[in-house]
Amino acid sequence: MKRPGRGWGTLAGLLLAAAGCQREEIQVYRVPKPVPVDAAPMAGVANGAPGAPGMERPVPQLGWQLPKDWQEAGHGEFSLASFNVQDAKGRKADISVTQLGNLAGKDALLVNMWREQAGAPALSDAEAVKQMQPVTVGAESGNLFEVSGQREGAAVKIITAMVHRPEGSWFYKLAGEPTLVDEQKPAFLDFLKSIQIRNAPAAAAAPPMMAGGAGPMAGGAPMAGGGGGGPLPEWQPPANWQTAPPGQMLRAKFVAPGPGGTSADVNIGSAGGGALLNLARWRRQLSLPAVTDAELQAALQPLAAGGDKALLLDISGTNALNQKPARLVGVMVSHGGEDWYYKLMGDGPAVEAEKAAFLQFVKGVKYPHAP
Amino acid sequence: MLLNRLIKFFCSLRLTVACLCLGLVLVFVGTLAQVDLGLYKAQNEFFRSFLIYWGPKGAGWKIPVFPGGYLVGGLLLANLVAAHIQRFKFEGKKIGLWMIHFGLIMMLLGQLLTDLLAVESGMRLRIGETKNYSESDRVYELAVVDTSGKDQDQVVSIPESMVARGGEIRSAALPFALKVTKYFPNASLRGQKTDGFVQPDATQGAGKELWLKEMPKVTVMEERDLPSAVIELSSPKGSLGRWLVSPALEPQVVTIDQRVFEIGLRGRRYYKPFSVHLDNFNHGTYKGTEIAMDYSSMVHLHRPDTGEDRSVRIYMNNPLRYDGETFYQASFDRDDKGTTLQVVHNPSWLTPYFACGLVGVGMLVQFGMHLIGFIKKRTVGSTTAIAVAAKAAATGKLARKAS
Repeated sequence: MKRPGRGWGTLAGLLLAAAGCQREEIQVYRVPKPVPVDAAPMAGVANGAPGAPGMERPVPQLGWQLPKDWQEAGHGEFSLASFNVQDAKGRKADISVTQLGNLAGKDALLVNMWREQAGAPALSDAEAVKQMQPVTVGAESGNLFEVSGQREGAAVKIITAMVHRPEGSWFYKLAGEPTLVDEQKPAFLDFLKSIQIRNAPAAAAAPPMMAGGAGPMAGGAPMAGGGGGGPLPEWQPPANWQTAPPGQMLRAKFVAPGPGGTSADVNIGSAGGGALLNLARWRRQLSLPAVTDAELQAALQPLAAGGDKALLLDISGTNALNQKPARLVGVMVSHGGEDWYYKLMGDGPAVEAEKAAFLQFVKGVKYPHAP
Repeated sequence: MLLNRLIKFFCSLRLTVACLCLGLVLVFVGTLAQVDLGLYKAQNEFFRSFLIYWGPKGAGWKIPVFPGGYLVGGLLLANLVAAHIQRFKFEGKKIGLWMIHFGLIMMLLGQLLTDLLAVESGMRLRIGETKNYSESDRVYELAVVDTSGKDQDQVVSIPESMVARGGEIRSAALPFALKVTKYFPNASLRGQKTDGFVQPDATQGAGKELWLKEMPKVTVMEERDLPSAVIELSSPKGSLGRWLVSPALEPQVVTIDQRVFEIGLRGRRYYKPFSVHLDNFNHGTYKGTEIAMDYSSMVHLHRPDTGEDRSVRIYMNNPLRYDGETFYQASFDRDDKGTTLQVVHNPSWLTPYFACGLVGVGMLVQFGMHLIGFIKKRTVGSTTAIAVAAKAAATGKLARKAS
């Protein structure tokens, strides 16, 4: 017997180290004050669009009526939006919305591409085109075709609707367990009818903001400050405002040029977070210290905005992002149980020059389903 | 006596074979389980566990049915070390075997250390933004930040696992206690009343205006759980109210004794002694196509304590290795104005390389020694045979001459 204790000691040491490393405890530490940033588009592998570096591209905004039992699942690598549905028996189906380059005139190729995906044999061009049935997508007419086959050893059915628009071809796909796909087809057709596309850029654009705003998070939670899906209100931005791609949490964004090369951004968001939280966030964006709810409320001024209850905040400070002096005029409008946040923020002279037009813009907004 | 039997057990070659067989089964079953459980859950249940538990669907109980990765790997390591101590003597002719065994031990230990010490997180930056921390997208913390200081914030970081256990949480750094009244491992939030969603019983902050629905934990790699909890704060004077916290919400402000706190559930943060500033992000495509060719982030690294200040280009397959961490180009914002860097801290990242090298050299040495010995034997054997044959031939010639 040779030195039996050494091996045991090693083993015991390793086990103790393993046990010790797994324990989690409360940690207390000090850090420099954070630099808050404005809401920004979410990370994702987007299809790139050609263009000069730094060139702003408009982002399509999708609106839809979510069918019962469907869950939003954010956007995928190529899809602009996706959903899933699962029943108590464990049957699953996925729904996705994808925009590609303009593929008008290539219907037979597309049908066979989907057939290949389902492991079904290819059809002749004439046979493939015969698979098409007319379908309504939003206010437009499109085509729909069905494919059944096998994928990864399981039966699968794919129903695809496509619409060729000037900016590209849009594909709406329902795929999954065949019997569930058949059951969900009426809901899918209703979903197609409810589709609204705004601000669509030419071909293969980046994914749009998702309804719910949480992207690929299973919880699908809206984050403070905006997001939200559904139809946009009608508004008339002043002629000198330029449309810009909204961030993940925003419903719309404009850039307002000011005097002497200055500029200000107009950000519009809705849903989630609550008024006081959003107003507190605006203060942090101007590097202003946190205040209590009561102090925040005291800083707000009532504003008449087309019969809706609205509150106005006008604050100045230092832009936390670039450490330059900045001013922020924010308006929160409560309409039909939903909060809308309008923010004009930027260089002081630009904000001063645009404030009147901004308030006029906010007052003139017509909300969907307005009473 | 018992000790001797235990030592005999740990030194047994049967244990080695049994562990290797169990390991094979474990890898096979654990890999298949990823189809239903997803990568991370399967890893935790099959490989990062001592025992694998099973229970009927819907039942509230589970029984251990198979040894987990830690148990099989731990036993194999103990077996290897014990057998080595017990059986092997250091001899020159066995140096190759020693190297192979040490290589295997290093590999097992390296994997254990990677499992225990490696941390993966992400750093998302917009152009012009600077950060000195990375954030986990799977591990969360309840952060209570005292923002009353002039230049610095005091952070009390409570691990999500403590929040999940529920009950009261106290820290000497806080003038109030936190009580977790509700915890949801994954939940969806809505800003307005929606079917299936309920109000989360919050009396303060954003939660008053939100509706919540508990969701099943996600299993797909591309998805994330969004935990939520209702936290009741209480000072010696009594309850201050209940707040809903979730990574989907901005931190919420609570003022107590003229100190302003921000409370929020967020991805666990890992602060660094240096900062990274995103100067630019480039997303190139192949000419005439929209197929991605290259993603690259031009960042500026600044370290105040050493005065280091330099620009670095991080792009696919060319990460930045700095201060024990590796920054990979992982993702980007859809408007090409922001980047996401994956930050990996793995103190034992070199051990697999050393271990494989050691095993490789050990095999070369061991087989080389055998080969040399064999050649030598053969050479000696041939020389002897030639000598014998020559002798026999000479003897034959002489005999023939004599006759």
